Amino acid sequence: MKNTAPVLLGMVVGCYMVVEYFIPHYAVRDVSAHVLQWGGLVAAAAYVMGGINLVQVTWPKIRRREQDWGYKVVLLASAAIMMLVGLPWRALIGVRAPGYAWKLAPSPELARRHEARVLVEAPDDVIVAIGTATARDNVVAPGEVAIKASRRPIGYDAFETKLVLAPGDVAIVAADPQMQWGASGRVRTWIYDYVFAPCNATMFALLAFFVASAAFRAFRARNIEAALLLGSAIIVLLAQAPIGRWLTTSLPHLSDWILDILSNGSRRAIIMGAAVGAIATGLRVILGIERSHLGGD
Amino acid sequence: MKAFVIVMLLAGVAAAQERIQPEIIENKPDQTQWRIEVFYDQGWIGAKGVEPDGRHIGLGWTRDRVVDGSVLVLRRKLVPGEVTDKGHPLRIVDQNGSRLSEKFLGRGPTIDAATTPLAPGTVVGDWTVVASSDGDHPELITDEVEPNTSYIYVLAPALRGTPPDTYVAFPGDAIQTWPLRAHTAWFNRRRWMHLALIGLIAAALGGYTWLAKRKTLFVRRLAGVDAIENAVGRSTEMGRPVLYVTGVEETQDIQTIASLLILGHVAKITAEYDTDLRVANAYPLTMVIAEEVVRQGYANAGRADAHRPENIMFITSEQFAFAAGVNGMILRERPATNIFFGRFYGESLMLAETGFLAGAIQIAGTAELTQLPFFVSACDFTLLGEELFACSAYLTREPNQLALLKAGDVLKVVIALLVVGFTVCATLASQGWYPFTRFSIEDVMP
Repeated sequence: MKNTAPVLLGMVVGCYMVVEYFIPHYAVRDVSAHVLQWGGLVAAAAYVMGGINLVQVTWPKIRRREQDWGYKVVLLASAAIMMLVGLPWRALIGVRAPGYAWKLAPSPELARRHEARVLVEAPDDVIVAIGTATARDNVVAPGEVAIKASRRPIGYDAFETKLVLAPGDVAIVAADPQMQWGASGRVRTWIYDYVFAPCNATMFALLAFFVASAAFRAFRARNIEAALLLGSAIIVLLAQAPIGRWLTTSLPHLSDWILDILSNGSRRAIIMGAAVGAIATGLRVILGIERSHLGGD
Repeated sequence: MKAFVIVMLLAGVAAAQERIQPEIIENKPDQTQWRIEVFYDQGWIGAKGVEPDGRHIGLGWTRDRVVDGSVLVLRRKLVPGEVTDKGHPLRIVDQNGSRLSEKFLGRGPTIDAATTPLAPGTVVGDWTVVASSDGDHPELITDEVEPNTSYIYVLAPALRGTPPDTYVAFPGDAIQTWPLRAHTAWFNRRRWMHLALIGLIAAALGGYTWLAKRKTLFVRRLAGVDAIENAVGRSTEMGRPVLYVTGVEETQDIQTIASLLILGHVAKITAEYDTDLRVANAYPLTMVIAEEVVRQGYANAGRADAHRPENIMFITSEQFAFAAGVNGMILRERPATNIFFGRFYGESLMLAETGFLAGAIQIAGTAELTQLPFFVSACDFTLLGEELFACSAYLTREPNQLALLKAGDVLKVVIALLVVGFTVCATLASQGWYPFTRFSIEDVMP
């Protein structure tokens, strides 16, 4: 029963998803959409397990002062910081409105000139756009005026509203957009943009050296196949560089022929084989033929 | 046999459903003749139509003369009990202008289309804007609607304003359709070829399962898979762990699934050799499943007590951070064997090259085409494409699994024949040969 129940459950759900592909009826689709949502929930819950695993794996190494244990401290501290700054703290401490706009007593002088006025009260680093103007005291034409107040760095609230101004109206816009917390918050965004992204880019840049090292090893004519590989690689490489065209104009055509005919044909064969293999693997799991992951051999 | 009966039943249900003849209405002879085609379903062959899921209606139209301007399409729900006659012309503005009439809108204030944008999805009175088209639209506009609800559509000739989705005038009469309701069906006819291929693989599976019980099926040698046990043995001799990476894709990816299936066998081998197995995962859910798979692998080897859950690790789902983490493991722990099975992207060479520099035996397998050259150049053994999926069956040698492997080969032959057949058809079509000019591969296999 311990092994049969998961296999049966897998078969039922798997077969349903296959059958659903052929049945367009909305009732059937609704059920599969729900099942997929459950999958998303399970995956989200697994992140908690991932966090626990991280501590389980890392903490003993720190405690035992294993090799490079300092990096583990950095890892745990970074994970803790990112978790803390990723929480929506304002849901706990309360959210303050990013700004207000209201009208004062109308000015006869402005009314006579058929104009309106918008005054701005905001800290210096807050940019307040009254239509297209960004001054602190704006004389505008009557009518609808779009107002937007924001701070330049991302991760802050924005205040947006529209005022309908009659001739002579005087309005005040007071804005002080607050810093956001959570996934799009200021601190998380800053750490992501200025710490994580450069590290990521550094890792990616290292790829160039790995490619050079692997290419140096791969392009050695040890046998006929390796010699063919080397020859093709030289042609394609030269064709990509200006010197290739300078040597002979037929080199780019030869390179295109290698890529479009020889390489493409083999690639398609691998793709088709892999697709059929993927179908067979799916069927093995769905039909319960493959059960090594559930205790069978 | 059961599969055959199910296929026949599905085909029977599909045949019993109504045919997909477009409904057509025409106007009075002295006026512009509208030819409106409404589709609720698709054909067995041909790309035209909508999926009969009860949520889509396809609408297309042509007129008997060229009319300048656009056509605005609106729809409203039919009130239960409301009787409407067949399609007929109607006015949607009181006088020539842009203000939609109160009578037409049904409820709410009148709306001036010259100043109020009528973008698709906008609700005006009882009506919802579906789409707009410059001139006739013989191709289908697919509208998403609620199931089991009747709608009527209005096609209104209109002249566009300067701001987007505004209209300065609605010259001439609009045309109203008869009540329409999205259809539901129990078989998607456009996917009959897919079903046929699955039926074929099922039949081949049945045949080979029958054959596998009577004789040993031949499977060609996979050097990379044979090397796994030798590599684990080497790790044991050197007293170093085996590192297994399940790829950088999510659990539902078929390559990750294949990798997890192989992991069970690798775990069993490492348990038998009493060697540490470290598994690096890019997603927590993969980690949870991998832990269960490894635990089961150790149990299968009769060494459940030797399983160490902390050896199954979640690194991170960020691609290059994952590469950095695994590279750190390779350099610090110096595993004697690195196994990379699953889907990999740009980090594949980083992992494989670091493993090479660390002097490990490396076995990789992926169906990710762009990464194969990197693995081939930096690893000792590489499983190419389908070999990754065949690995688990190859390791177990279980007749049913081998039968499915063989059934896959049959499907490959059929696909190869189809490729050749379609290539010939496409070549003949390009030369103008009838009837090959009448269809394309998308008509049969969307």
